[in-house]
Amino acid sequence: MLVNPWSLALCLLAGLSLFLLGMASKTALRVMRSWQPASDSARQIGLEAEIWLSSTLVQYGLAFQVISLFLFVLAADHFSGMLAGAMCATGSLLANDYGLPLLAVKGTGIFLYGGWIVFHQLDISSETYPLVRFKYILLLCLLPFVVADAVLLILYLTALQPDIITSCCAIIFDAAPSGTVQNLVGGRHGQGLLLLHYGWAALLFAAGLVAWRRRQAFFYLLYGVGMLLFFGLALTTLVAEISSYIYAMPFHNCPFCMLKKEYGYFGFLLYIPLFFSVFCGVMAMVVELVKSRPGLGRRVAELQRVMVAVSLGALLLYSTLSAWHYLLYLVAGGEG
Amino acid sequence: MKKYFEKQRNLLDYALASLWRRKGKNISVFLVFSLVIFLLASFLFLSRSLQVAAQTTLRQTPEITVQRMVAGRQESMPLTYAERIRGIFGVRRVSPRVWGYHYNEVTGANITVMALAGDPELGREPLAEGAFWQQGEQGRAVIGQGVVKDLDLGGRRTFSFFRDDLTLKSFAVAGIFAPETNILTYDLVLLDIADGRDLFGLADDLATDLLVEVVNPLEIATVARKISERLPDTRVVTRPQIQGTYQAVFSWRSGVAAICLLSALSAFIILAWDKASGMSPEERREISILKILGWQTPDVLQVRFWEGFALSLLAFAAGAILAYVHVGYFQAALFRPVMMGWSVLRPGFDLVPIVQGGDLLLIFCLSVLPYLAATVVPAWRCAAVATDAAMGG
Amino acid sequence: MIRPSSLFATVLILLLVALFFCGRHAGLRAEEERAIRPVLDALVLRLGLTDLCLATEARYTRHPALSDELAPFMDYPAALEYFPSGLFWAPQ
Repeated sequence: MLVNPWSLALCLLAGLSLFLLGMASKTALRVMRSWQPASDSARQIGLEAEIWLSSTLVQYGLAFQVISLFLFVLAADHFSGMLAGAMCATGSLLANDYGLPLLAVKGTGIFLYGGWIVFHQLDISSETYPLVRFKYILLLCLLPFVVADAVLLILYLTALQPDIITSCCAIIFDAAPSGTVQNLVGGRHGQGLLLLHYGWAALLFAAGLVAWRRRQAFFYLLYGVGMLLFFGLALTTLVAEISSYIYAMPFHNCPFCMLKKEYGYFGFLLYIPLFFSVFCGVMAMVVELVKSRPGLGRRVAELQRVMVAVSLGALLLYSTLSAWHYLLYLVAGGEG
Repeated sequence: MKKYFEKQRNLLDYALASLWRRKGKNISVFLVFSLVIFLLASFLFLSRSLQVAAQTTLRQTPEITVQRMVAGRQESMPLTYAERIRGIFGVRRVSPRVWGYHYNEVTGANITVMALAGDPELGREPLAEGAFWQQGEQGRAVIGQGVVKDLDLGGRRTFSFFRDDLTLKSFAVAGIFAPETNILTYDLVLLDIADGRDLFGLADDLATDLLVEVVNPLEIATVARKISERLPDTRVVTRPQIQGTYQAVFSWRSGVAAICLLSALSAFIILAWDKASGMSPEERREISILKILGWQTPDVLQVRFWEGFALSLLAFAAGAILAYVHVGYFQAALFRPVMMGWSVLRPGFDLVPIVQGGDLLLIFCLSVLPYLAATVVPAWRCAAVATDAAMGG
Repeated sequence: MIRPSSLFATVLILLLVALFFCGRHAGLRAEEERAIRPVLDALVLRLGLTDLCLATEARYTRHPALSDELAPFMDYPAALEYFPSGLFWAPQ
């Protein structure tokens, strides 16, 4: 199903990302070959100028990927009208084997590009560019990822045939860890997962506060790992529990419909803080890797503090917003 | 943080001032870009609005339609088929139907003639005047607005069609469909099934197709499968298939249009790339002066980004609003001829435009993002000009 | 003097507000349209209509749902499809 404005836009974005990252990789190769920080040669000056180009390109690439993730979800929702049996985006994603991997690649991609930009910012904050080689190796590692994204996209779109019977979101997430997806009206079996979710969030919040005060590698590590686990937990809970409260329908467990107009684009209010929170929390841990580089110690420490603070803020926002419909349900009962 | 925003705002100020300095060039770029976005957005709005119209209007379309295929063509089917379908568990009702097209040789219009068994059981709401015929009444027709116009009825309330053997069959107009139902009834002539058979010269034991109602809508697919097993020479069309077909048609439609318009867009992008790479001596001077004043390469890049972003965002908003006006008020006048082709009967229904965040995002991705991507490398080439080279040269 | 960025922001916000009102307007139109919907539903249901009356030039564009995919090419052997609205007819 390539002849379709949504498919075309997705392919266009994939092509543009490939173009941008490809251009940036050209720089990366040159930097790896002939980077000499001490030298004053014309070539070195040229390379230093190229660093700006490549970082701008990756920033564009990141922005494009974020947009393309949302576009992909909306496109999947659009496709569902043409696929018999698919009632919403979930159905279209499951229509063939490439949908979910593509979504995963796109989601992970955002973290990777974002991470690269953080390293880049650290690098340019120091006069000596201590991370140049490191970040260009990273950049070259990103390239296969972008290629995989484009390939999966093409595979997904070409394999997508209107009228293949697919299951729909009411049942697919049955296999989610809770296994109790369908018991929301009574609200009894679902409580466990919600409790775990918010309990974990509270613990995480405490850990984050400690990390913010103590500024020790161990606490950053704790917070970062906790965040990673929380990401999986939060996505599961979103799908299995929270979504039903948003839709006010016990069997509607689609993680994507909430991004639509019918639900006031509420999903964006959940996913964006969640992604931010996880990203910043994990990055606070990851930048520890380069703390020992010359001239970076103080910058990294500052950055970690900011990251944890942002992450905590976003976590608080996410928790409040995700609990909103549930609380409304408890207070007002039913109609929320 | 505040410092950062203040800096960005200053850069934006500078970018806008520099856009304004070259207003002749930039306004023309803006106009062309708006035009491309306008065309793209119009088509997307139009097909979205048709898509939604199909989705909402065809909700109650027959659950199962059964046609007989002979040598790859649809042929009339014997009524005995209806009996065999009635025997399937889960079937509530089977109604035969005769329908086809009547070609009006005077005007060249194709009129859809549909003949139903029994009383349509409809009130007078869909009609602008008259009423549906009662059971057993012959020679009476309910016709659409387009048919009234095409047959040039004026005040007359009778008309006649040629049978295949060129004898005339005349009808009295029992009622006329209301203009609000044009999207369904514009070219329709509704008859009793006996009249339909008479007009088309069909034997009494034949029908064009069969409409099957199912007790439980969840079983449509099962019943459809059973029908095609029992009657292998038939084509069975279900309600979800019709819905799917319409969605696919419109999505293909806008895909074709998007491809056409993407070539226009890429031409524009190449223009933008070209414009951005060819650096005039003044620009060179400007950048080297900025560099001497202490600007860094990323600052210049940032200015270029703001220039492109401001220009394309304005063009995007302007193009989208114009497209809305085009579809909402002018009924997509530019595209109608293409869409209707050589249709003689041109349905005059009102398009209800639909604007969704997703569609706007789609238009944004198809227009603004390629523009930004195309201008970034040339912008860097300008920004990275070595100061001494620029001043010296 | 007004800063260019303020001017730009004003224009942009005006345009976006206009766009927003386009959306609102569309919503209101859809609201109006809803009144006629029961009538259309009844028509479709009782008459068994399957298609929208959009392009009346050819059988397969008037009734895309009920014409098979060969319909555009069946007039004579090796017939070409030539109706303009057929351009938009997706291959199935």
